[in-house]
Amino acid sequence: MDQKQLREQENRCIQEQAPACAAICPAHVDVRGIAAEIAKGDVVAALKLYRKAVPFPGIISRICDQPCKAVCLRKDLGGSIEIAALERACLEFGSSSEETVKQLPRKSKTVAVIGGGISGLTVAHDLARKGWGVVIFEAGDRLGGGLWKSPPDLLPRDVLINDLKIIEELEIEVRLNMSVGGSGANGHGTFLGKLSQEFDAIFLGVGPHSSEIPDLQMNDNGQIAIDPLTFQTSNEKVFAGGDVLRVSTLYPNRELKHSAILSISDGRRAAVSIDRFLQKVSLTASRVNEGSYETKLYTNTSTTTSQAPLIETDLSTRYNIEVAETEAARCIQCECLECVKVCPYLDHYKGYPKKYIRETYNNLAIVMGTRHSNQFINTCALCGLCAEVCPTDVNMGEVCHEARVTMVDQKRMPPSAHDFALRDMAFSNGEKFALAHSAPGLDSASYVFFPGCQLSGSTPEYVEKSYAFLRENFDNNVGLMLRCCGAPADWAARKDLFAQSQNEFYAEYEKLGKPKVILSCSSCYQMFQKHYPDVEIVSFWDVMNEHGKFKKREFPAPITIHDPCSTRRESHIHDSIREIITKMGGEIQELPLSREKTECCSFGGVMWLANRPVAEKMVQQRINESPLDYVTYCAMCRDFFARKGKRTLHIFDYIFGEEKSDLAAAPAVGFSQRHENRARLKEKLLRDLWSETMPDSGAFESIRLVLPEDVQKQVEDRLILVEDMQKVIEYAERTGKRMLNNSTKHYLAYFKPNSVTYWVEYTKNDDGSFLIYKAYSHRMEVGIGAPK
Amino acid sequence: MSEYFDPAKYEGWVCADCNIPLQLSKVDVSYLGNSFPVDLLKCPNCGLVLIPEELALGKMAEVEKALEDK
Amino acid sequence: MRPGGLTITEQALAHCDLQSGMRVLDVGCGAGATLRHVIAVYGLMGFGVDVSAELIARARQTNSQVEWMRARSESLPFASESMDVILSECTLCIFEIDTALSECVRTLNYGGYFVVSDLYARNENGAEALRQLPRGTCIGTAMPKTQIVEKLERAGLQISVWQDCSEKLKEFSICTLTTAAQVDPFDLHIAAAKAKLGYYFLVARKNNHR
Ligand code: SF4
Ligand code: SF4
Ligand code: SF4
Ligand SMILES: [Zn+2]
Repeated sequence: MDQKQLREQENRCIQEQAPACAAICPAHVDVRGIAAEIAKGDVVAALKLYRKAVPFPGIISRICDQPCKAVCLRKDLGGSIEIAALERACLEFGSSSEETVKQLPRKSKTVAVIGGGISGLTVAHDLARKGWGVVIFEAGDRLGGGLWKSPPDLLPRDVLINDLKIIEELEIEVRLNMSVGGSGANGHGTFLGKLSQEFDAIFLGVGPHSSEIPDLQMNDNGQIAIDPLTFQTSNEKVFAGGDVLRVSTLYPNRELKHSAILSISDGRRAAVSIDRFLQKVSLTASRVNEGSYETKLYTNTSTTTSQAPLIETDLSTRYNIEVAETEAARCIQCECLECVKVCPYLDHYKGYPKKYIRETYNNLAIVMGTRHSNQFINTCALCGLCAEVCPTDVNMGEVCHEARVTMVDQKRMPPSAHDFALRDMAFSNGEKFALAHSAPGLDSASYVFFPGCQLSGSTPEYVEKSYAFLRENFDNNVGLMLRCCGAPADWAARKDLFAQSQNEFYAEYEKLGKPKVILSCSSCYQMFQKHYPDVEIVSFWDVMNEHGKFKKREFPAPITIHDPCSTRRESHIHDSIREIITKMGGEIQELPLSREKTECCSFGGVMWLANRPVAEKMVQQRINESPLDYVTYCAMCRDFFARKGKRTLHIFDYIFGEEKSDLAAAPAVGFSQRHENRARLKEKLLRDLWSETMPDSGAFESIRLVLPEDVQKQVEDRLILVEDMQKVIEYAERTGKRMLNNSTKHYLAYFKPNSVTYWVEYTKNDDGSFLIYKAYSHRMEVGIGAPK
Repeated sequence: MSEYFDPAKYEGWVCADCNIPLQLSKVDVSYLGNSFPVDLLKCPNCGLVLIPEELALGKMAEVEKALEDK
Repeated sequence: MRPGGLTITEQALAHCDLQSGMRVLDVGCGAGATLRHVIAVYGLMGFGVDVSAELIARARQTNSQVEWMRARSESLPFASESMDVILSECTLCIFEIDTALSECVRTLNYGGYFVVSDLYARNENGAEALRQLPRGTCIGTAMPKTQIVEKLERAGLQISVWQDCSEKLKEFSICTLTTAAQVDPFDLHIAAAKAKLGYYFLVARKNNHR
């Protein structure tokens, strides 16, 4: 993915789109924001938001036709939010006498506004506040035009008069009883002609019958030609709004809809054009989402419960403050966040993909000041759930993976982020574990079983049993390949290490005669799908489901299934697992998020190593979703849940496990033990099936360690392996390089096999083993100076 | 005096090889191309340096993280 | 000692139209190494000020052509509009910056060059971490670029070149920049990393009209 594709993902996230109400409102009143402030009890802040969108708030809140109510997402969930009533409440409870209008310093140019109706008044207001001089020409004997026709009980006259005071406050000149149209001859003699000599711009906010205004070009329909985007007429100085605009644009529909809020919107848009015209900048640049439009925002209301307003409301209802707060709290606060709701990682950083991608993009371009750390990019589990729930398929996993590739390319990947997992992979692809054999007695294979490193690390006995099962079912023609699929390298964006692992695989695979590969681990399955397109693969679970003979088992209670996130797109595996459990007599209760919507256990993407606190949240969220025993079919999911105390079974526990023992409560297998298990598995299989022995082991492996329980926990937590400690002691004992505490007689020694320095405090037992008191590590190097 | 560990806690430690007490001296520590001198316990004879647990897991870990995120 | 040494001075001066005989003032000249170099290479008339009597005394011994004076940069002993070039190398953030800047601007001719190299915080949000360090380090006062630019512009200078040269900081131990010995070197490096401490030079000119 290049930066263009990153941008494309960013643009797809619709979280920042306006809610339906604000989008449809021609003046884009921030209904959601106003409701939020009122619900919080801050009517002053709410009023501020309202005033920003509407210059005559008293008037509008009493006569607005409320197009927002038609689209409000509350509409069928108790009734649309009563926004006008809330606006009136803001004015009533949030107004203060100190409010002052901000006005920019007076500029030299002056605009004539023809027509003192609401659109003209809006233009005058907006331009005056920007510092332009304004003169209003009104045909009648007072400002307000059609407003005076609204019934006084709806729009009390004192409210009208009060709202119009701002015209005076802004020092706008008003000339009453000045008529525009039809005054005699063409050309300079006309009123408009005269005005355009006297003024720098003119706004025409007159009634519908102004088509006789001379000097302006007509369109095909005989109406004044008006640009629908900028409201400019054929005379570049003259802009139009109000009814004359509507007659022109809605032709031949003569039915004029009078909407105060629409007139305000027209006025605002014309004022923007005029301001730009006077400043001599582009009239058309970036004018998106002006006027009424339909939003692209998606809001999930499936869990919103229906709730009606406290009291029945119309345009004359006055709320007391409690009623206003209750009404405001009914607002759903429409937004998307579908992905954030399901992903603890996205939630943790308090943003959403559009924002994250923007910041990641900045980070990669190394502009000044990274807002998000490298750690942010490394924390994603790459599980793809976000894309599954996103209405527009935004996949943060892809974004983060690509960002990691860039970080590695730019040599900015923190060394500690993935080191432990990569060394684990190196172990599995090293001589202690890696193995490739055709079935005993055969030279090549039609099938090869690839159990993966984690199942072998957690439960090596199941690898043996499943291999035996496969040989039985395929006439013994099944080889065995023990190694890592390369997932850690892929997640860490280490293309070099992945390629190396891949090449080693292909060499063995070809020697075996390119057999079909049977995969039991879902991460392996995903890696083979993605990176080994020419290798034919089969899911072990599909084979098991088809060929296995299942005994009925005791199921004291229903169980629930956790699908590993790497099976997200493999519904055939989901089906096989469920069928196997059903055949054994199990009753399944599905989790709310399962199959293609399943969650990650925090092993994915090496998240658990890059950011432990967030990884913990991730596991915790998953295991809290049901009190039932979980059944899964990934060794890592099983152990990650078990480590947090969740009763979890690997499906192999049902198939091959001891029926009597409570395997759901078995502890998770630690990191050192996983290495040990893999090595033993290889040794045993070599001996039992192929009568071969393991190559000689290193000197350090003969060092026997005694680890008290608390120390065992400590080293597991600090990611220190038995072999790391063995190396320290072997080195210290061989070279004498160690420290001695005279009072406790403990030794303290260190060794740096690679990039990490390990420290061990120990004593030697009489039987030659070593008792460990503590172990710790660091990456800083000691005694090596930088050039001065 | 250094704020990153308490040398008094390590008074009992000697270099086992040379059998002499460790002494506080300037030692360079470095990470990702950044290097700076700090006061650590060191064998005056063979140069063996003691990195205390609380330093490794405390300030050192913090510097590592800060430099990695730089 | 300062990051980049004379290389950065040279790079910065390459952006100035220097004529021999021009008057150059080094504020915070220390023992005078930079001035000795630039007057020799460009044939300029040199003036150096530093608060340290000891450093000024040492500078005097090495070169008598330059006018060495003990003074604070916040109060320069020169007439208004008397200098063509003012150099401030790794000193700006230890001065009382606003006063020092207005003094420098006063002393510069219209159109004169103000040449600065110094530490800065590349991560604006991390600059806060620097302020937590004990007083007495020039690192503790390093500012983000936006703030430096704003201060210079407000003082009446127009920046024509801003060049990041943070790689020069890599080969330079920031501990040597701290005069206060009691700063925990770990804390220092944690703060410096959080702020993405960097190094820059800039060339600015005094605006022709106020
Ligand atoms: S629920 Fe609130 S945010 Fe959503 S459309 Fe209605 S008023 Fe707007
Ligand atoms: S689901 Fe997430 S990424 Fe997709 S549109 Fe909503 S907030 Fe944006
Ligand atoms: S952890 Fe999974 S759901 Fe969350 S952002 Fe990453 S890929 Fe998406
Ligand atoms: Zn020694």
